[in-house]
Amino acid sequence: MEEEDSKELANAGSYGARAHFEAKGRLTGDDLGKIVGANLLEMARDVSARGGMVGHLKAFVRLPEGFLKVNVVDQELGADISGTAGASLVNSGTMNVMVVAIGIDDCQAKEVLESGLKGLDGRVRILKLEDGHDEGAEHKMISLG
Amino acid sequence: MIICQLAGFLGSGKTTLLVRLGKELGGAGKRVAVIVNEVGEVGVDGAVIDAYGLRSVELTEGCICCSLSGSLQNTLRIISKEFKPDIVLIEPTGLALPSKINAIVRTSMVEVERNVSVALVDAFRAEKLFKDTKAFFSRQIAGVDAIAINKVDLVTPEQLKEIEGMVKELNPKPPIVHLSAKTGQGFGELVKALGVM
Repeated sequence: MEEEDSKELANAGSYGARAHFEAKGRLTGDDLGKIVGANLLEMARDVSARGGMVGHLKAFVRLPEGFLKVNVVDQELGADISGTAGASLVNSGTMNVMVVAIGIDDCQAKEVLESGLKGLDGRVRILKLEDGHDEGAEHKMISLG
Repeated sequence: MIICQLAGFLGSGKTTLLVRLGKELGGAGKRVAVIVNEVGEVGVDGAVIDAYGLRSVELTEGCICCSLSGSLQNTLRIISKEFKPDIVLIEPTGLALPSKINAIVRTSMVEVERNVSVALVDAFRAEKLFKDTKAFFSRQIAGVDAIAINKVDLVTPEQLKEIEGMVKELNPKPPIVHLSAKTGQGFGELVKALGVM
């Protein structure tokens, strides 16, 4: 019996990438959160324009000063932004971004993400964009308590 | 070892709930292991979970209910042997089918005291998802021990009642908890329903 694939069942497309960036000019953590939020909302509009439905657009920004997490699941709801970077000035960092949507394929999800990231250009310079594994991500371990 | 699966559609609040539950369990002295799964090679949730002080094993580039089922079983065996947790929290992708993961856990050859699962339903998007993806939505809430209608702070009591009706139409068996994983509303009730504390 052929194994069922849940991503196919849901008719979903996805793409994730890691962007290394540096700030252009003065930029705080709060500013960056708003910029990334606006950027993910722009990607959400792109998904809709392609006839898809937003599944989850999310970003995690790792900075020396803290972190930001930004989520968009519905355009009407806007971007949910949280984290610890706050008023700290941002010089550089890395940002993991993922687009998952229903009714578009992986190639379209990649286009949405890459075209969306170009929208950051005014305030942030993307130095490198990767879509490979985080070094050691799979088997780093675990603890609590 | 208890295994607790936090399932639910994309953006339903699984990671937020996992962070809250992981911290609570850790604070109560439990040894907690976290397995998080992402469809893409570059994940986001594992980094978020780490940022909140929980360490996780991230399984990427596929879904643990299908293409990565073997990886899930291997990871469970490694964790069970080397870390000996009291509880393993599993966050699958938002495209996973919880009943399939339950079956994979059952055949993983690890000693499991209890295997519990909760399906999160995003209250804000429930109506749309019910309309646009009913068959898939239905399978995502099948075979779970509890259903948590999450983000209840974003809907009115009338809307919540309608959502509960839709959910019961698809799966009338499990208890339904009204939750805001973000604010903590209903969290105690969910923990009680799952019996993980």
